[in-house]
Amino acid sequence: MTDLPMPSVLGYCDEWSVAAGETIRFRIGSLTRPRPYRAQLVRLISPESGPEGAGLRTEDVDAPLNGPHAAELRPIPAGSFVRVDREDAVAGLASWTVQALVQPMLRDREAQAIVSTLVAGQRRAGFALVVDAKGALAIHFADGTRISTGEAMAQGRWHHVAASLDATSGEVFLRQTPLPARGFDRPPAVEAAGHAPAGRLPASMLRIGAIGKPGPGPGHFGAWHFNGKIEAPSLADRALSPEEIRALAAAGSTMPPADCLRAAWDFSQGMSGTAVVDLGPRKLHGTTVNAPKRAVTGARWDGTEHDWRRAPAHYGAIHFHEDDLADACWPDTLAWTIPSTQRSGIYALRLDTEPGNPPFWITFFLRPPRGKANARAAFLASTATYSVYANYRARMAPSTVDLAFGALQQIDSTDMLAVVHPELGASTYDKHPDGSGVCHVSRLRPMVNVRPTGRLWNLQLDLCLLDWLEAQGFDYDVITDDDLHREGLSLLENYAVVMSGCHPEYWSGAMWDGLDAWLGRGGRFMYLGGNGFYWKVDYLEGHPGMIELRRAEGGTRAWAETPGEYLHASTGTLGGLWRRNGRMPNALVGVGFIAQGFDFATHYERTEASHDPRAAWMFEGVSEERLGAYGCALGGAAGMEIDCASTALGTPAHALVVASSTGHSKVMNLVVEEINSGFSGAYGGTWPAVRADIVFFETPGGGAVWSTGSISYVGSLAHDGYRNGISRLTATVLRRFLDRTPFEMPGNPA
Amino acid sequence: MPDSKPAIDATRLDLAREFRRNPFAKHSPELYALLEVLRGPAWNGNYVLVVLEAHRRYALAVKQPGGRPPVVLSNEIHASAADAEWAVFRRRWEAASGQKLEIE
Repeated sequence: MTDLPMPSVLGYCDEWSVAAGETIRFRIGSLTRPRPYRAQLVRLISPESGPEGAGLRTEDVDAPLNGPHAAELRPIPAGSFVRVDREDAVAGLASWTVQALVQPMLRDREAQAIVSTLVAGQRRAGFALVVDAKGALAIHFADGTRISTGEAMAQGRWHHVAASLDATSGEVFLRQTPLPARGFDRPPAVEAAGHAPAGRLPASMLRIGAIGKPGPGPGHFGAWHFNGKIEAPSLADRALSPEEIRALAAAGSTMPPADCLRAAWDFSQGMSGTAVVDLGPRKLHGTTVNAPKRAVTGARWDGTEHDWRRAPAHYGAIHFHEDDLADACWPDTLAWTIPSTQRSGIYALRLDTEPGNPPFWITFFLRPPRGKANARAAFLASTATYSVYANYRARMAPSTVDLAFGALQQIDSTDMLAVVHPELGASTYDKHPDGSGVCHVSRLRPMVNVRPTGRLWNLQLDLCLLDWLEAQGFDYDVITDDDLHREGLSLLENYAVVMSGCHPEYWSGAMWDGLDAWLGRGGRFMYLGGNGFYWKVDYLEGHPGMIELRRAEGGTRAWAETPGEYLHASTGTLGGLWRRNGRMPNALVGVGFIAQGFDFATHYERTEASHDPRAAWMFEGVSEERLGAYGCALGGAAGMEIDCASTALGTPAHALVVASSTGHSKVMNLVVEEINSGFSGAYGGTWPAVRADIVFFETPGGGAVWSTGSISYVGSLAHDGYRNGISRLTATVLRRFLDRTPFEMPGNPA
Repeated sequence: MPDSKPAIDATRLDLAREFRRNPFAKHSPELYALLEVLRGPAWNGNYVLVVLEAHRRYALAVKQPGGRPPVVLSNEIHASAADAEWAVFRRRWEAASGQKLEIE
């Protein structure tokens, strides 16, 4: 049953970090049919946190766009391919040969196009070289003629594929040739022949990895999307003989003889961008659509090289997926020019439809005017992490996740939109239908789980911090990861204190550099979360709003990156954990990810070090022995994902561990990057490192860092009307961090 | 030779009662051992909890392969996540043992 009431009008915004005085544009539509809706602009104050929190609170914002509207039907052009928008690509061809190297990864689709001039629903003459429903190589013509080898290609194996048409005889020749691979399987090459209508091809666009499909611009729609890798597709303007094709296949080459070369696309050029280069005389260059994965191993990759920049010939493939999505390409629907007096905060445009249907929230972040600060403290919204988690489908897929979580996963009908409408694109926690990991995400699409409702995680939990700041009367600005990535130190130097969210997991190098430089100049940072500074991401040049992530080598991974594909296409640098890239979270904030478990959260206990005069001040008025044994995030302040100090991993020697959590269960398991070979027994209660540490240390520039090492922490702030030890401790630290008096490094002469 | 023994010991109602008291607590070693069987691939049943009304109404659903949406078991509504956990425990117990779990 999928007829739970769901949000029926969705949307997203053009930029999600905007400043007062700027205009934000909303792109709103329905995936099913035109529908009426009401728009209401709100400021988000606290999330749907339940009885242990403040509960969902928003504040209406007067704006001209509030009120009833009509949403148009807006399809989403999901699926990646290469478009060659040159009408002379095949125009006038009577005899021809099309070739490619392919690594098919998925069957059970009507057809998956390798190279095509067809357009769905149109009968204009053309062809599509495809993997058919059986998984066999086939060629489909516009008049309905279909010729197939009838034998499935082995999934995951590279093949040379070719089809030719001789105009004089109308004969079609088709051959799929498995390329040599390690192991002892020896699938045979398969040939097929048939007849197709003769005639010259009309002017047509050409697609690699899909066929064309009409759809509203500016999106580029496709159909029959290929799931797998394609390398070195080529066109010849005559029918190569079967002997010529066999010889090329034996050599693993698709390059036509010079006398008939029409096009030969070389995917190993320009792997960081969208351009696709044709080596042929007509320069039929193409452009990738929807950010397929580039810098991926090709048919020639033999494991001797892992750096695509040094051996581009080994990386001549592109991996296409039917659910890749860079931009939903919806037109601007509503806009709001933000008054100069509008306060910084987290906002949303709430879209309400029929009674009983949940609303849809388009969340955005209002920063202070650029170059200015309206407060001495800033909340750094984890927009990189929010993006990476957007449209998380895997939580709804069969798995043994209950073993790792120690509880059932909880979803709601808004989450289910992501599986009911896979065209919304996935998160980097998901796999594509062909089993490969999702390594690109975009915010230019409706995001179903960046909202103040639903699972207490990421933004929802971060709103607990904002709610507390409001309740305690602290002034703050909201800034974002996206801002920090673009502006670096200059964004932060306006602030005395910066507070993270509960789970700032994904960081770009530029973000890290900015924070590091600011801390070196005396910044005071409150890391109020767990599992932060963990994965390396890059923002993609040429794809605004997109992030690249390769889950290389180790770590708590939703999927493991393909061997040979550990380097980002965008930057050519190693992806994966920051700790494997020479940047230790512990060195930056004193703690690093150590364990996760989701059965319950627990509390901290003070340490001897907390009585050191350097730290004792922060516990003034805090009398709880079990600090934080309450909260809306699994019932305690220390839980979900937790971090501990480790001088071996870079925690400064002078850092004070002022409190540590206790009482974790067997479900709170040590992270895999701390384990070299599998064993049991590394969990809460048995493994000393499995704990959340609250750590404090001073920095040479007069600043300081205070880290709580737990995702659950901020969920405890509102307990008992904000009158609790966690609230008091946090407030005391924040007040001291706002105080201009420099912190002194221990051992420094006064 | 196939193992014909039931996957769990259905006489250990004490463990079921322990779980029923608080599914989100630190459990005894024996209950953890039982849960590792019930939550493992053989018996977990691919359940997921669907929040119908936050903190008030929950339904069970079964996760589906192939990217399909979970199928909601609409005949069972629970007032708390703990109640829903117990319902799933009971289903898994009965599947693994072949016997009804007769406690409340």
